[in-house]
Amino acid sequence: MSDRLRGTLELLVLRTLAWGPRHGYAIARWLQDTTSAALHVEDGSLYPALYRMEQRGWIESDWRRSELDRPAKFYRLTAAGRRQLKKETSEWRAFVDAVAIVLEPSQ
Amino acid sequence: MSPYEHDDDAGDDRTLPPEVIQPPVDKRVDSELAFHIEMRTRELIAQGIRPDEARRQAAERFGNLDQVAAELRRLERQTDRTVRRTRYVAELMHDWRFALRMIARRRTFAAVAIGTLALGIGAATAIYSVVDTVLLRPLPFDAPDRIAAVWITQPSIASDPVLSWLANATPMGSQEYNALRQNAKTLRDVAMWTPRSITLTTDNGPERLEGIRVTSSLLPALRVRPALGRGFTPGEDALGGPHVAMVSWEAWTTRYGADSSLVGRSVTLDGAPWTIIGVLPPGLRIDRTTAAPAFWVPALQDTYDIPERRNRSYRTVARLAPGTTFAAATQEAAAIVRSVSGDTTVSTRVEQWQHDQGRDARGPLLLLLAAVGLLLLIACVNVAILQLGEAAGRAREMTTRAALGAGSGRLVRQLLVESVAIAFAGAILGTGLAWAMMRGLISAAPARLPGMDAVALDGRVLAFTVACATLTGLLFGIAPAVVASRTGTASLVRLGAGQSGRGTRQLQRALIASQLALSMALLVEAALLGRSLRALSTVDPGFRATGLVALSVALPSTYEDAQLSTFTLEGVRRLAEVPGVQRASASQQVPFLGGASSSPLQLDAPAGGSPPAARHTQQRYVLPGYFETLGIRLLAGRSFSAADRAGSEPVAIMSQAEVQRDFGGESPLGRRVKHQNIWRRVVGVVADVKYRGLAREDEATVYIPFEQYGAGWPTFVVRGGDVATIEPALKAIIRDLEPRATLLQTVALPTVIEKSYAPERYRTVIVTVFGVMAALLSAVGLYGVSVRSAARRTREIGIRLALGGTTSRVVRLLVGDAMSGVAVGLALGMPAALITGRIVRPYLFAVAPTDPLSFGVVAVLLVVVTAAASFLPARLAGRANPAVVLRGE
Repeated sequence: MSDRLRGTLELLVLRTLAWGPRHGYAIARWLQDTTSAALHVEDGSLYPALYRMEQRGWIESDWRRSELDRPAKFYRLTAAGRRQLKKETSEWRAFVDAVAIVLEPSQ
Repeated sequence: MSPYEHDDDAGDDRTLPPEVIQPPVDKRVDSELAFHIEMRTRELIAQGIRPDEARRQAAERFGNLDQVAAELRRLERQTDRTVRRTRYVAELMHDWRFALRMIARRRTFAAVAIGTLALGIGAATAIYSVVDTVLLRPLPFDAPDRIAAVWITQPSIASDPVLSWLANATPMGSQEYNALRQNAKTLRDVAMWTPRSITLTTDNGPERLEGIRVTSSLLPALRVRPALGRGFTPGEDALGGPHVAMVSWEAWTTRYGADSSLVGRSVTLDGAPWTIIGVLPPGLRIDRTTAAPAFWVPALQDTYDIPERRNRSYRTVARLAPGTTFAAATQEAAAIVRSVSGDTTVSTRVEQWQHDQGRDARGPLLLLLAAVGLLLLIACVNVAILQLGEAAGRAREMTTRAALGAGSGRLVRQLLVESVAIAFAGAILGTGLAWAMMRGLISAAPARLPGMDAVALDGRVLAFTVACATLTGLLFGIAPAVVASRTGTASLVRLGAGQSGRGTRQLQRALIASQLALSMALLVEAALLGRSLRALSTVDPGFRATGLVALSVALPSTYEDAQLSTFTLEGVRRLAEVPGVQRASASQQVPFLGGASSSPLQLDAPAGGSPPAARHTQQRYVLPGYFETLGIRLLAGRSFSAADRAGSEPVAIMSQAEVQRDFGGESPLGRRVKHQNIWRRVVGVVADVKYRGLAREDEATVYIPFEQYGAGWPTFVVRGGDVATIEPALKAIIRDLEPRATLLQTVALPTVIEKSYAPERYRTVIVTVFGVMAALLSAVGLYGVSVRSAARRTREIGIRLALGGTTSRVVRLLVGDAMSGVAVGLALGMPAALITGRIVRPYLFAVAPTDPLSFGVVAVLLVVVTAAASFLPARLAGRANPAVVLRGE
């Protein structure tokens, strides 16, 4: 996975969790739905990203009862995660703007 | 974040109990991934795909499951470690804050617990500060563990009561010194020294000061350099060497105003001019048991020191050669000393100088350390008892916390942190207490503890205190914590409701019993030492000390025998005329002042037999009236009179022990003995006198008229009158007769005798104080338990009273309950006390370590104290109004 893709994945995970705690599968589903599979990542590559983000303190997890009526690991955003989301969003926007200017020079 | 702290988000009812939160890493990762696959499979099935196909597709979409799982495990372990660490620190901080809150809330308990521990830790710290300085702290020299003290040992004379003191530590002379320096490969820089008092004469008159005679090798051996000038050089410490001297830093600063021009100047020592060649560095001590000597002079300058005389009067130190051991040095030195002295029975003792210095002090100090260790243990048990009582009252709090998610491990840790917090509070208070006690220990200490003046509460001692506090905190915290963990929180709940807690009560009872047993051991030790001290102090010294004053005088070294006699006789005559004085006499050695002096005494051949071998006998040179003045009983024959003069027939008087030893108890009157090459006729027998300590055996002693022997400096003894008139009188006599003489000391003999057993009294007092503290602590512990037990049984008591029980019966019931524990404690205390008895045995005089009186008195004391401690709360409970009690709750 390229760095850009990884950064994008993290940004998207943060985005997802901004709406509330959810488990890994729910995150994967959401990524799949909202990006219409455009990113096309394997499910498995989501988890190392989640664990690294947890190490960095952006998200935290606990085990709760799930739909299957057995414990599932739920992730949720921390305060640091919220700040990171804000920062990365604006960076992403700046990046997109910059790229847009390069790729579509204003006529 | 700790498992029972939840924010609002996680606090909903979907939160799982804490046990579920942290299964092992592998399980967590596996179940998370399994959950993902399961969800995906279900979704695919819901889309109409066959289950096995759905499962295959789900796995495919996931990617390499094993690789991901391995990666996740690695990451998770990393996270776990950091999380655990931060959580641990956070929890510990929380525990500390909580502990302080709990302590602040339970003031009475905290005050008693902290006070108890302050006492224990304070006492332990104070004793340890002394032990550390005297026995453990390295000497302030370079590589002190390689400095060896070298003594000659003579096991063959150990059985001789007169000479036995030399058996383990005979000093050396120049013969051995030269041989060791030339031949020893294991010892370098062999050096000798001996203390010697010196008279310094200044414009203000003569003054007696501490001095020391050292070989030129002493400073190199210790790797010490003079602060100013130079040290002695080889050749200066030899017969007829130059009159050169060094001065101590302290004397240099106080007497000479730190004037560096002193080096090269001349001072008058012992009536002769000496040139100062150097100033020693500050704080230099060779013998830590005496005051630092002001003047250092070279050794081996007198004819007394020549090898042919074979006099042994020097203490020896040396550097252990690199790569050798003390054992090897002992062997080599022994071989050298044997070959040079021609005596095959001698050996040597070579050991670390510090061990050698602490030799005499070690036993008694370790005894005190053991006693204070017992006290500290008792304090610990006491706090454990109190803590246990508290734990019962805290069940509601514990339950609440358990319900909030605290595991039993967490509760145990909380309790331990509380204990350690209490212990540290105790330690802080105890350090203050230790300082005060240490001042007391130092000021009351008898002389001759090496380094006693350097005792201080420094980093080493404080480290000991901290270690003590942590250890005691864990020690007394463990019992309640174990109860909490073993029986689980559920039992704490019941315990709080007052329903059960049998385990706790049994533990409490066991603790009280062991506390009493320990107290008994300590008190028996104190009682034994006390009885021994009493026995020692009532020993008959063989003379009447009351009303006796002794005054010792130093005379110029150039004095002739005749001048000495004249001065002494005239001094006695004029002292007897002082108003109030009943009798006066003099001797070269007075009981309890001055050491041993002996030489071989040869007996004449009994009728028809060969003369027995000469045996070492203590010798005393006395003036007429000596026996009468001291009140020594004359058992046979006559006393000395003024007629026993220098020119008259040589005579001698024997002590009873001498008659027992050499004459088999038969009358020696008229027999002849040869002492120092002069045959003397025995004219009398006198009772034995304890010359060198009340605990010593009677020594065979021969008395010789002062005038018939060129005896040394006199010590005057005066009966009657008081020091205030006698001392000026003697000073006036000195001024008249010999202005160069100095009065060395004036002492009342009863004081000197008391001082002779000051070390025994010292340790007895300390152990007794510890014992009393222990008894008080036990009483406090039992009182606390009794109060709680009475409170717990209020309902039962109420019923008993309501059903017609009388107050006295209730009291009997409660006290009886407590006393059964006391009985167990005393039963356990017996063997414990027998063990301590064995430890103190070497320090007991005329008392058996199993002395029934000591055991009995202590047992009765403990029964009385504990009965009182349990009676007070029981009486309060028994007086309760049953109606009020039963209505309550």
